[in-house]
Amino acid sequence: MRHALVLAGLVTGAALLVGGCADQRAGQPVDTTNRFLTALADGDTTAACQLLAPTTSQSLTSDGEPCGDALAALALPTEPARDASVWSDRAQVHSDGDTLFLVDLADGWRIAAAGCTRAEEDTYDCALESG
Amino acid sequence: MKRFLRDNGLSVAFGLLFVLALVGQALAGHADYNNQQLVDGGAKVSLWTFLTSSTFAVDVAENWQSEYLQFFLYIFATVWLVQRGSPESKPAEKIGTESDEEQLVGAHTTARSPKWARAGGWRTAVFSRSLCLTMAALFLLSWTAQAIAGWSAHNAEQLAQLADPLTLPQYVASADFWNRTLQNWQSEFLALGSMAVLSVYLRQRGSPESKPVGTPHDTTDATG
Repeated sequence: MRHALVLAGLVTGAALLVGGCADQRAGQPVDTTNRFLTALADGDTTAACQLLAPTTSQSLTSDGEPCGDALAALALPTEPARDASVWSDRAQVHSDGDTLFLVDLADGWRIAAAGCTRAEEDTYDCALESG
Repeated sequence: MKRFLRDNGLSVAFGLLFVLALVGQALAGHADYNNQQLVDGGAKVSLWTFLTSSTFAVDVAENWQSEYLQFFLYIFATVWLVQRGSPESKPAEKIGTESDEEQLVGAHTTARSPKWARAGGWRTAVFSRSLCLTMAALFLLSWTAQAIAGWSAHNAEQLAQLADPLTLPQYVASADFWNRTLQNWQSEFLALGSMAVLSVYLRQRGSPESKPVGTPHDTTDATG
């Protein structure tokens, strides 16, 4: 009986640790997302481009168009971020108008994908993504 | 010191091998993780960051749980199941938990019997099952660790692939969890079955895991 209680405590503790850590880190990707969305709403595509992950920026400008112009052309929703789900170095952020995916890089959280709509089997098709 | 090493050589040797293998797994796993990070557009991480990651934790835990399950099932199964001719098995006439006289409990304890073997009551009942109980507890603990760490690592992969993260119940029912679990279980059960059968017909002179070289194939429960 005592072993079962210890085990239950360890399991609960581990689950809370994983969940608790995720909640505390949610603030950082939400901040980055809001800075990105605010920059887009203000028409400051230069600032918005600086918040893109390198691979996403490369994909956006792969046909030679400047990042700011290509980003503006996507007309992404700019409602502020509502909540975030953080797992390791990845985050999914929801706003009222969009779902965004972020990656934690050396210089902070960056936008990996935006303008995402749910496709089949819980995957997303995104207007802005890498690759 | 010499005597300590002689008397505990088996545990020392395998303890060292375990540490070396774990260090090797950490280094190889770190390199593999960083390669995958580059493919997924993520950032390389330091060795320490990798060692404290859910990816490393699940890779370790999924192996530990299957080892403890293997020992729990084998220890328990060999009470009731036999393999004629195997040194891993007892003879068919001894199937079951055996008598108090054979197990040196009750009226048959000696002055050197362990304290809880002599104590009687629930203490002897627990001690009589302590090996299985401990292996089962370690299995459940490490399988739980695999589930929780695997959930975290899998959800990071989900987000990298632009998919929704799973809840813990969804992850425990997922292909990723059961693929990790069953790929480990099949190898453990294969090893046990192989050992039970091969030890009937093959020998290793000097090993207690083998029958003596000249022992007939149909002799059960004899060790070298």
